Amino acid sequence: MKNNFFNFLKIKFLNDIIFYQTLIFCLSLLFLGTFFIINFKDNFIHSIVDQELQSLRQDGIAKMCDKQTKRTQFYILNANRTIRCAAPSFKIEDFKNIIIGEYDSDDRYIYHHRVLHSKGKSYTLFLRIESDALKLISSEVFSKLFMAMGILGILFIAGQFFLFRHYFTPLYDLFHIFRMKGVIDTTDSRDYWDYIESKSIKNFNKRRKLQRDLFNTKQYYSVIINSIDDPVVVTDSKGRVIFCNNAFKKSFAPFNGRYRGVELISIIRDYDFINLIRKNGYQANLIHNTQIALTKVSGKTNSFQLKISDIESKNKDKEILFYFSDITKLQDVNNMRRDFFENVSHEIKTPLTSIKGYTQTLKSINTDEDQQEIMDIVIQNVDRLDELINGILSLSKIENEGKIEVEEINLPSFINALINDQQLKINAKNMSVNYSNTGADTIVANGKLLYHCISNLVSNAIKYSRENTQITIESGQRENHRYIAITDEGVGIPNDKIARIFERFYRVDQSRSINTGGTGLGLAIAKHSAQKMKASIEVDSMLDKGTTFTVLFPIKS
Amino acid sequence: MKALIVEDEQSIAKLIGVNLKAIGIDYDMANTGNDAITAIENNQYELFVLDRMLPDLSGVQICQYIRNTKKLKNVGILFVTALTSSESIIEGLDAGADDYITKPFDIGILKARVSSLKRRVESHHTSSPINNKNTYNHMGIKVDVDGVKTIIDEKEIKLTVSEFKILCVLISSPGKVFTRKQIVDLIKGENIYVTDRTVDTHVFALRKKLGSKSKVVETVRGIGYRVKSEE
Repeated sequence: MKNNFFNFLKIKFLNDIIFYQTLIFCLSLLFLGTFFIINFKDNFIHSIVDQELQSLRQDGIAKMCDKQTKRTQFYILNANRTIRCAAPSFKIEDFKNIIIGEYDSDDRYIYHHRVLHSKGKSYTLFLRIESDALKLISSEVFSKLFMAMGILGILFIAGQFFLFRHYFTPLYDLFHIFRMKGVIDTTDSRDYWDYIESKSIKNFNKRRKLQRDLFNTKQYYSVIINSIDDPVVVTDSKGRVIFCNNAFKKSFAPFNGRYRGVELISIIRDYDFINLIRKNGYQANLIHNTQIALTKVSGKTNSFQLKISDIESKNKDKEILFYFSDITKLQDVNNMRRDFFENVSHEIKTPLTSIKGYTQTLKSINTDEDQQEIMDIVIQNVDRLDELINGILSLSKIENEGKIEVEEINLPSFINALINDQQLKINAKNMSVNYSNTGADTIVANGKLLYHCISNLVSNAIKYSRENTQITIESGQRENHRYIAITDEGVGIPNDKIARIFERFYRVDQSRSINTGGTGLGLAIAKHSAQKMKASIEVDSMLDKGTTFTVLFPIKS
Repeated sequence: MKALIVEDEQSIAKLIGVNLKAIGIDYDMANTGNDAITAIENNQYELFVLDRMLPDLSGVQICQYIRNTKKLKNVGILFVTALTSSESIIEGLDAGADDYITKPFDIGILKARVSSLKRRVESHHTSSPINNKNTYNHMGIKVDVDGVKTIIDEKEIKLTVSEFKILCVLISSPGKVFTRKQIVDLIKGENIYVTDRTVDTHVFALRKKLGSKSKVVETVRGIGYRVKSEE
């Protein structure tokens, strides 16, 4: 619903007004009532005394001495002692200017009045009022007060409720009409309509607590997301910005301008980005993870790995998270590394070319056998050095390979072509290669990496086999794996060395490597190529019997 | 025939020169890209040996310049590169090079490649390999382009349209490496649906049908395909 967020805020605001106003009003009533009672208690007492005096006026003093009267009594005291006596005939005027006494030890009020002298004697008149009577009067007053406060409170809340209803009834009616017409999805705003319809204070408080928690949670995550250095933005399904972090504002939002509710391609005015969005729409499943160069507000162009994910929610529209991971520095480092390797390889290969070329030229015009042999050694070592450089380059390339592309490769044609490539080496040792395939004609892998992996294993099999022996290559399916196994009848690997054979430059037997040649990188390249393709290599070997290397490719279920 | 050797390393340029002379090719040397372009403008060359990495221009740029120059229509270009990655080699071939060798090269291989290139230049087969000749007979494989026939050991073998076109392209320049992209560009036309990826499948099927002559069609690992030259 278009105004969801706005309405939610409005309701939250009203909740607070109603709650706090009612609270302040009730507290004020209580305070004022208490203040009133404390300050005007004496006035109540006066009014009681006035009533008593009124009755005195009507009935005379004798009435006051009546035992039937429980509430009040008169005592006539002389100067020394208290004498209960028949009341002298005082005039009513004599009872003016009554002084309010204090509570006596029995918790009773005593009002005393110094009377005029009568018949040569001076009398003091004490009017005693029982505290029970006071309490009775007080509780009556209090109950009246509380009733008044209660009525006022109820009236106030009713007023607030009227205001609330007045505010929301049109909205509610409008919503109801839309819901009936099927224009809006009711689940969108279930939360606050539930609230409107709920009338219990418990729910109200619970909701307020939830709102507070939600606010705190938002604050909490907002701090976390703002501390991320990469730009992050959340949009709705139409690409309008709902939330973005500081890094995003800094990179793409010009002059801290308005960005909420603005479509993302209006903020990131980059040709490639706009094309990407226009082509795929705001959908995570189509642009899951892509690299893109974007020009920032500063005018600088950086490379970003753009990750887009859907944020699905039961009660809300689908939202989309765009995470722009800045990979500029990483790319620079990778480019430097690549350039370094390429330059080094170029710089080394140039003198090697001269050495090899001139040696071969010399050899072609020289007939001395000893010198020819020396030149052959030079050429062999140049080739070995070249192989080593290529090995290091391959390994570095494989390790730096990013996302690899896979294709369906026809196993028989692949293996046959590979055997064909190694034919010269095979013929040189008068060996034979048997290839059989069972159960699976194809394999899903990266062609280049698969070639690196298997060619190194086959090359090793040839290198460490005796002359006139056989190499067996098998491919097929075993349980949930496709496999390629290369078995030789060579020297084998001691069990305690198997764990280390995939290390760079590791040699099982240093002295033997001089004869076999090689760089010591073949198995490392095979292992890394396999790992890149999520494959594994198993080794099974017996000394002087031979070795089997099996590359296992898991089949995706 | 005169060749231009474009190589910034004096010793290697001389080494190539010495070996070119040994097979009867006269040569000039240029140490930078700009020197090369000046030399091309002022002389007539039929063969170029280009280093991939030069101080000013790259070998690929010079290669494109040569291919875009009208007077150099039927010339041979051999790439010499220290960059052994298939991407780099394919880039050179796609820019118009006929062949490549990698540093440190073998003198024998250099001579063989240059000789093969020389023969090809002399018989004017560097461009539009299919249109110039109507029949080929190479290493026991006879191809009649107009009659759409392939004959091995006096027997006609049945090829699909795509397989036949690929064979025509490869056999037109024995020894020349064709990248997958080049093959697709040369054979595309009506009723042929071949992409870079399906070239491999067609070649695989073509080899099967060639039977005893299957090894005539060679795979150049990671680069493309070629038909073996006689030697």
